[in-house]
Amino acid sequence: MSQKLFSWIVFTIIFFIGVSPVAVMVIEAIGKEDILIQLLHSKESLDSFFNSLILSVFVSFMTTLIGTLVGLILGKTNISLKKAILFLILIPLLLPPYILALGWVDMLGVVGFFSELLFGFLGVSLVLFTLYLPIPVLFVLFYLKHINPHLEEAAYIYCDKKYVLSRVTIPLILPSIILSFLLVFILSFGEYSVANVLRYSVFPLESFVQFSAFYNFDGAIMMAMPMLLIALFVLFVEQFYLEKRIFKYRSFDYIHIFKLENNQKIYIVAIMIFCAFFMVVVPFWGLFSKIGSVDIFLIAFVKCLDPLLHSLLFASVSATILTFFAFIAAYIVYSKVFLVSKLIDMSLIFLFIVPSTVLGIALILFWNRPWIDFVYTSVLIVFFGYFAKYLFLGSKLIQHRLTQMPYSMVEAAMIFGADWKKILKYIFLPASYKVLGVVFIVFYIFILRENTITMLVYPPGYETLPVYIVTQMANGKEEIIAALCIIMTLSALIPFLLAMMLFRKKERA
Amino acid sequence: MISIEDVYFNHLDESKEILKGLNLQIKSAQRVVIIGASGSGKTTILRLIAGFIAPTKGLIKFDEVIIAKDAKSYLPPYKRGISMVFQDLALWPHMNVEENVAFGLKMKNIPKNQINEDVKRYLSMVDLQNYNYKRIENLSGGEQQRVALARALIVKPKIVLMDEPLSSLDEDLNKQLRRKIVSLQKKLGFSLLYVTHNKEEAKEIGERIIVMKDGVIREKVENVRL
Repeated sequence: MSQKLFSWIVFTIIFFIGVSPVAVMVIEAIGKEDILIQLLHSKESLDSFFNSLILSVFVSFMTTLIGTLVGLILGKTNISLKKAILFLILIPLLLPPYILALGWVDMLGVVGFFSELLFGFLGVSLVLFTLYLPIPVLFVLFYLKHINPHLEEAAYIYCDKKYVLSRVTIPLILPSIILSFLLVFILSFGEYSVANVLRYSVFPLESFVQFSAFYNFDGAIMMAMPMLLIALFVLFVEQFYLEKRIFKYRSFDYIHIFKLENNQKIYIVAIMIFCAFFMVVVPFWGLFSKIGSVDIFLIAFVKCLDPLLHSLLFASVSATILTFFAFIAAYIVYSKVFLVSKLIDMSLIFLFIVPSTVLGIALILFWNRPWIDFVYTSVLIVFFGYFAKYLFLGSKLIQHRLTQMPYSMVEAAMIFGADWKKILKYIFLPASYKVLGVVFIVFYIFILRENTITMLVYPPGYETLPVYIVTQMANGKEEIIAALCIIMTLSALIPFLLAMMLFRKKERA
Repeated sequence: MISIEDVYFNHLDESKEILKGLNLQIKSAQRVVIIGASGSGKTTILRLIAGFIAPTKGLIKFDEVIIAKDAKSYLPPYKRGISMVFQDLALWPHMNVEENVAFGLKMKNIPKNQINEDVKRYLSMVDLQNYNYKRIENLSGGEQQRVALARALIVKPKIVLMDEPLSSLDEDLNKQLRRKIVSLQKKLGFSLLYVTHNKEEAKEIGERIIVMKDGVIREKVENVRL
C-alpha cells in the first residue's frame, strides 16, 4: 500500500468519526434558521449568549496576561521551587472543571457576602481562570524552550534585560500567546459545568438544556451553530495567520536565563505560591472540610466503584488506541503528503476547538440512525467522542518530536531501500517511545476528566465517575459529592504523579 | 585593551574545566584570531568577554578596569562597548533588515534621523543598499552574514567578537567576506577577536593567532603565516 493511499484511509477514519457528524449537523441546521432566531429572541438566550461572550473574553484576557507572566517567570528566571509551583498550577487542568467550583461552594457556603460573589460572573471567572491558567503557562514555557538563546544574547549586548524581554523574547513568543488566548477563549466559551454549579447563565448550558431537559433536538442543534462559527473563526486564525508566524521548533543546549537578585526571588516565589495556594488548595480544603470523616469517604468509594471502573477502563483503552492513531496522524502530517496531511491537521485542530457540547450533539445526531445505531447504543460512541476531541493533543506532541529529528535520518534509511512503512517502524517508532508514553498519559488524564461529551452520549449503565458526580449533584448528599470529587482528583493525580516519577527516573538513568 | 588573567571556567553542573588558567591580551585595533578544535574553549573566551558568563576563577579587565573576577561579573554586556557576530548570526526573525541593524542605536536613544543615516551608511558599507525592509528569512546566507556585520558595527564598538561567523558559507563567499571584515576593521579601527577552526581564515584575518587545545593556549603566533 502506498503512503498516499494509507494517508487517505487515515483521513477517512478521522473524517468519518469526527468531522462528518459536525458536517451533518450543519446540513441539518440549514433551513432551520427561524428556530435559532426564535430562541435568540428570548431574553434568557440572548443574555446567556452575551454572558458567555463577556465571560470568555475576560477569562482569556486574564489567563493570557497572568499566564504569560507566570510562564516567563518560570521559564526565564532563576527562582527556586519552579516545579512545585508549576505542579500546583497544573492540578486544575487534570480534573473535571466543576470540581473547583464545588470546592469553592463548600468553602464559602451558599449564603453571605462571599458566596454572593461566588455565584455569578466573578466566581465563574475565578474558577475558569484557575482552570485555564496552565494553558498559556505551558505554551509560553514550551516556546521559550525553543528560542535560540543567541537571539536574546545578541540583544543583551545593546540593552538591559527588560528591553531584551520586551523587544526580543516576547515578540518571538507572541504567536504562542495569541494562540493560547484563542484556545482559552474557545474553551471557556464552550464550558458550562462550572457555570451550572455556580448558577450563572451561559450559552452552552442553553444548548445542553434544550437537548437534555426539553428534548428539543433542533433547538440544541441551532444553539450549537454560533459556537461552531466561533470555532471556525479560531481555526481560520490558526491556519492562515498564526501557523506562518510560529518559528520552527528547534532545541538548544541552554536557555538564556534572567538572573534575579535574592530578595526579588523570595518575593516572587512567595507571591506565586500564595496565589497558587489560594486558587487551588483552598477549594480542596473546602471539599475536605465538607467530607468530615473517613466513613463518608468509604461510603462514597463503594457507591462510585462501578463508575470509577468505567472511567479507568475507558481511559486506559481509549488512551492506548488514541496513542496509536496519534502516532500515525502525526507521521502523516510530518510527511507532508500532498493535501491529505493538511486535511488531517486541520480536521484535528477543528475537532479539538469545537466545544464539547457541539461535538456531543453532533455525534448523537449522526450515529442515532437505524442502520448504524450499534454505535449510538454502545460505548463506541463514547470512544468516538474521545477520539474526535483529543486526538489533536497527542498528534501535536508527537509531531513536535518528529520535527526535531533531522530528515537526513529518513534519507539514510531510504538509501538502503527502506520504504515508508519500514521507516515508520524502524526509525520513527523507536525514536518516539518516550513521547508516546507522555502522549498516553495526556490522553489518559484528559479522557478520565472528560464529562461533557460523555454526559451527552454515554449509553445506559456506562456512566463514568465525572458523569456520576454530576448526576449526584441533583439530589446527592453534599458530603458524598465532596468525597466523590476527592476520589476523582486522586484517580487523576496518582497516575500523573507516577508517570512523572517514572520519566524522571528514566531521565536520570 | 582587554586583559584576561589566569582565567578558569567550568559550568556549574559540570566538573570538567573548559578553560584552565588562560592568559590573553588584546590591544586596541588589533585583529586576534583564536583557532582550535571543537571543545577547546574558543567560544567560551568570547562569551566571557561579552559578559554572558563570568570566570569561575581569575579576572578580566577592560582598559585596566576589572569587569569580572572570581565568578562575579561587574559590568553587563550592554555596558562593555562590545559587539558580537554569532555563529548562527542570531538575526531577529521578527524584525526586518533595517530594524535588526538599527536595534543597537535605538537602545542608545539616538535620534531617529541619525539612526536612519547610520543604517543607510552601514548597509551600503556591507553592500546591502535598498535591503532595509527585507525580511531576514528572505535573504541568502551571505546577505544575512552582512546584515549581522552591519548590526555589530553600527554601534561603533571598541571590540567586535566573531564566533565562526563564516562557517556556513561556501569557499568563495567565505573568502570574499573575510576580506570585507579585514577591510572594515582597518577602516573603522575596532579590535577584532575572531574564533574559527579554519586555518585559511585564521591566516588571512589574524595579526595574532592563538592556537587553543583543551582549554589552554598551545601557541601564540605574531604577524606570521601558519
